[in-house]
Amino acid sequence: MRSPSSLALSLLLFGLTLPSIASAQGASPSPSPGPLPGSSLLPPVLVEPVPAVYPDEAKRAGIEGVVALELTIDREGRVSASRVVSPAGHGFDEAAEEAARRFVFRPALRAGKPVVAKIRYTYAFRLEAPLAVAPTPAPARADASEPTTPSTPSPEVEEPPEEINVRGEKEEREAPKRSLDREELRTMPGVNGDPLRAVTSLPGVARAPAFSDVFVVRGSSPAGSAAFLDGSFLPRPFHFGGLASVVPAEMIDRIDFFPGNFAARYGRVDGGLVDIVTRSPAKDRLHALAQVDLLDGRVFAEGPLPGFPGWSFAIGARRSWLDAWLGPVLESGGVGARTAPYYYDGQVFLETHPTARSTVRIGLYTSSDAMNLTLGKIPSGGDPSVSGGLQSQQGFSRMQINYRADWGDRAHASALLSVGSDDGATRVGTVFARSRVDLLTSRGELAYDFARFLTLRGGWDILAATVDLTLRVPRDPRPGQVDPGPLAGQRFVVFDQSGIRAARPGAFFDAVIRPAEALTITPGVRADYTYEVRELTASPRVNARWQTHGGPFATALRGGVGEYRQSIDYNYVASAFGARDLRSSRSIHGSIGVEQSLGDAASITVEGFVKKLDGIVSHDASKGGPDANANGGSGRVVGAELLAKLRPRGRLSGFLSYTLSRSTREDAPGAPTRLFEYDQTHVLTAVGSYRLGRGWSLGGRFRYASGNPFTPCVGGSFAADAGLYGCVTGAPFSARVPAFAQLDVRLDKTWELSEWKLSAYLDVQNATNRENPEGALDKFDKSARTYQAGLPILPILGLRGEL
Amino acid sequence: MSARRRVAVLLVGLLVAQAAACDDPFPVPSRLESVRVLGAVMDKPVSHPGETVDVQLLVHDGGAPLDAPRPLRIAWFGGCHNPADDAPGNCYERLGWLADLSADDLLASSDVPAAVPPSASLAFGATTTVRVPDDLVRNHVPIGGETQPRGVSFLFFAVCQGSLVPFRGERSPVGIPVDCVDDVTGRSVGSSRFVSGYVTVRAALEARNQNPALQGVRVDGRTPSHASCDASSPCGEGETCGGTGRCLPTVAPCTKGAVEDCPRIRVTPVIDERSYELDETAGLVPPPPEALWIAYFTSAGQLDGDARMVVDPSSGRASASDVDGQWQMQPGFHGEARVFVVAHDNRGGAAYLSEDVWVR
Repeated sequence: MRSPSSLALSLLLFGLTLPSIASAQGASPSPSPGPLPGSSLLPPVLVEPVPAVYPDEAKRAGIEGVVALELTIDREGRVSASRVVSPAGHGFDEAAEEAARRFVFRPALRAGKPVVAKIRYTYAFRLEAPLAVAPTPAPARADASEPTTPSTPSPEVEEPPEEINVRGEKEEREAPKRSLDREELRTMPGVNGDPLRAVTSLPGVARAPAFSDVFVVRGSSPAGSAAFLDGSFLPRPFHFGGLASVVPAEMIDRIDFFPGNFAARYGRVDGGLVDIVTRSPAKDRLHALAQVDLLDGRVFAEGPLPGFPGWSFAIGARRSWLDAWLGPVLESGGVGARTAPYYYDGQVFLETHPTARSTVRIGLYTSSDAMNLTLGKIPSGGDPSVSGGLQSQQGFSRMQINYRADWGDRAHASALLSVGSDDGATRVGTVFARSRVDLLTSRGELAYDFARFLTLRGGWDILAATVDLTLRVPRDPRPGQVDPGPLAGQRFVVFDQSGIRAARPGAFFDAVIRPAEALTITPGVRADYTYEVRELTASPRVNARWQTHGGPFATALRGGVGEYRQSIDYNYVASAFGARDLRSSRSIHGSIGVEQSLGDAASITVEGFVKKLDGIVSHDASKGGPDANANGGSGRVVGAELLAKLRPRGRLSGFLSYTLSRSTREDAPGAPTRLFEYDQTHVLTAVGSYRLGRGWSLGGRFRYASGNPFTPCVGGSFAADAGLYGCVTGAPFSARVPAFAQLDVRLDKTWELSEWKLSAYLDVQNATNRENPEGALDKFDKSARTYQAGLPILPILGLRGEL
Repeated sequence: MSARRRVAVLLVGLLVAQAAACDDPFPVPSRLESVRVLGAVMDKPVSHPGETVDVQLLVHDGGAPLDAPRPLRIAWFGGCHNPADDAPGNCYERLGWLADLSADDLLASSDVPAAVPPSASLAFGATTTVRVPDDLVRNHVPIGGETQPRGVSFLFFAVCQGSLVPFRGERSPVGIPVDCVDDVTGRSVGSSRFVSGYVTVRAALEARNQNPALQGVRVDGRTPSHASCDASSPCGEGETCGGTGRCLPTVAPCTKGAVEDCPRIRVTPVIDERSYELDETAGLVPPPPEALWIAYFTSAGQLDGDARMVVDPSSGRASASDVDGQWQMQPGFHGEARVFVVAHDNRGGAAYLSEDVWVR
């Protein structure tokens, strides 16, 4: 039976999103072709065509050809992706793609607002001269050899907004990269439109426990994975343990997820990466949006910056009002709420294009979470040391400048400078931790296309920080350590130090080599220096991709191997937690996979991966005292991933992802092998959406995951001075929480109105109300065990208005 | 994830786990239905090297009527000084010699069995005395951020309603290699009749700590008279003459179907001001108050909130009403019942009182 607290939780998360309040003003939409028949959509217009180079070999042989391409035009009118739909061989495909990717369009418009569009584009190579052929209407796709003029396009405009479409796009230097665009994030069932939660449905990601914000990627520790916002490290991706992302969906263009074997430009982590890419502000006119639901209220505006021609802006702010109604709920449950939980975040982005081929973006963003709760009584069997209450204040702020430019046709440059601070203060009963990190990060990259078969890139990645730390905490808990007993009987670590300096300059270099038409090899190396421990490391990496067959049933093999380093935590530099002889941990990634396109209907990707980890910071009881940490741990991860997806062609779209893996650790040389604490043998996610017509769509997400391992209590030992039983532990991580299975359902209805669009949705999480166990719960004397149930059924009703 | 963030996650997780514990299906700790240890009181919660410390174990057999307790065998096993990480779990191997004892060795005897190493100790009974080694502080490895030298020694105990025997299996459910078996069947009796644990003997060169001072317990707002009584000398209003010839507060029985629905009887500990100390060894300036909390137990029913904070170092003293125990009588229970009040501080200090009531 569900408890009152569970019901309160459901109430807390039951959100009713009220209609957006929108206003618009500003310049008139720029001239554009008429809308497509039966829609308010204006197709993209090619404004800067680029002629293709006729392949020498074909010219010498007197061969002509026609290549059909599928181009994705982003909201800025740039070609963000291209695909050969109808190949011609003899170098025509590459020549056509290379030219098309440099096209500049006026973006497709819906109600005057730029939207992503896909078009078919046909290049006809004739011996007198190569000819650019305009986008062709979809019905004429099979007969695309007849060129039309670029000025009268009839594009097949596809709206990703209506599809669930996980794209297995590959950038040349990344082995596996998976992208989710804004609309995919918004419509995925079971995540209530939260962008980062959607990432956890992709292969390689373990299911995080409820109220947890950890990313566990391919069996690596959560500390080994990181999130970035436009290239800048994001210290806390979520508010309140996963309740909501700190960057609202309105700001996000796409999320790129790298489960491993990422390129040399990324470093200091040895797990996976999530890179959140914010979108360019609208440039046509002012757009504004306000939204409110039970959790928070948000405002958002974007458009040209008044008084600054060429500049555009986006500004957003959000604040929860959990504190307005959760306080009384908590009080009724015996929890005093001096400050009920609340969070806020804000973002400002300014963008301009100093030249036709360069972009400067200035961003400021901040986030804060706070609560102050008191417990009148200590919960049954609870530890008095952590029972007095919870006070928490967590926040960060950043200011950053991004620069991106094409210097001529061959050189491409980008740079980022970011400054900011992270503040955190948590007190639970007698335990507290308070920290402030002021940091500066900078990264930059220069790429130069020396030839069609060779591109070289190099850059820097610098982090510098000053850390202030005050602690009164139990000793750093580490897997494999003997249970120290109840906290109430322990001596805590007390530490107070300001001005701990950390500096971590890094540099990277890689090359994109194409020795043959279908083969791309990307070797690279990254060097990192850690000033605190005077450590210099070099991490070589290489990825390769070989397309064995082209056409609709294209097959490609890919693989990679490389070394990755996880920097030591700032705090290990402090004497309270570690020793200066600690070093970064190392992970060797290896992966190999195959991508198989199944025509226009579907594609499937299968990938196997292995990891070898060593130098993991682990507890070393033989050293004792403050230096009882050492790089003595090691581990292994082996697994396979499957991603099968339906292309959003008809009414049905969706994907299936499955990960089979095993992740183990040895806490010290010669120590017994144990399961990694987040090891999940099976993780299966199936997502599907069906367009019913008349604006209705029905979607579902099913998830199955093995339960996390845990160290069981085989009995109890009574700590008389604490008045509590301590756990007599069994073999480390030798038991598992029962498996998790959950079905989420989402129903959407969209009304297309004259100037705006109204959407309503019902997102029902755990639709079958299955009691999923989330963790072990022992009887007070540790003589029996049960499991704590997770979230009950959680219906979320929302309305959304878009202008 | 940084170490500080890991700590924050741990703490929030602990709090959530504790809040979640409200939903667990197990009996609450305050309900005494089996052999239980309620705490231990040392005459010197923080001792100095070379001193002796008197230790008293607070034991209750909830499986027997108050007026007919069953015999309990209590043994003490000492000699684990300054284990790695100050973790009692690292004492289990050091106490491996227990497995070499015979069952007879674990009967109360004045002779020290030969299997007991010179550095270890074996004693019997609800009270014992230990000597703090001269080098306990000198040999201690600091765990970080400590401002004053200290040492720690773990004194293990076993309380058995049956017979204590050495445990020779692979992994003892109580950590140390001792078991409790039924006198008749010879089988392990399990946790309902067997409790093992430890007392932490703390030592410092200068620091001291006082036990909390409990001056009395009020029941439902009344201070028990504890007057002698018999048929010729009846008790005053609101009291009933108990089986031991003392006047007991009278409380109404519960007529509800479930103990959770029973009315709450306020149990108010009277705490002397001397109990409120500052923790000079916390390493903080200014020193925070010492943590102080009360654990409640009863022989009939349960307490809503088994333990209550009296002083939280971060938020200070709790209000008096938050400290009171909320006793819910067992439905249908009539007769004599007992409530235990055990005060703990976070530096080994403890004190206890019990109060009997008459339910009718």
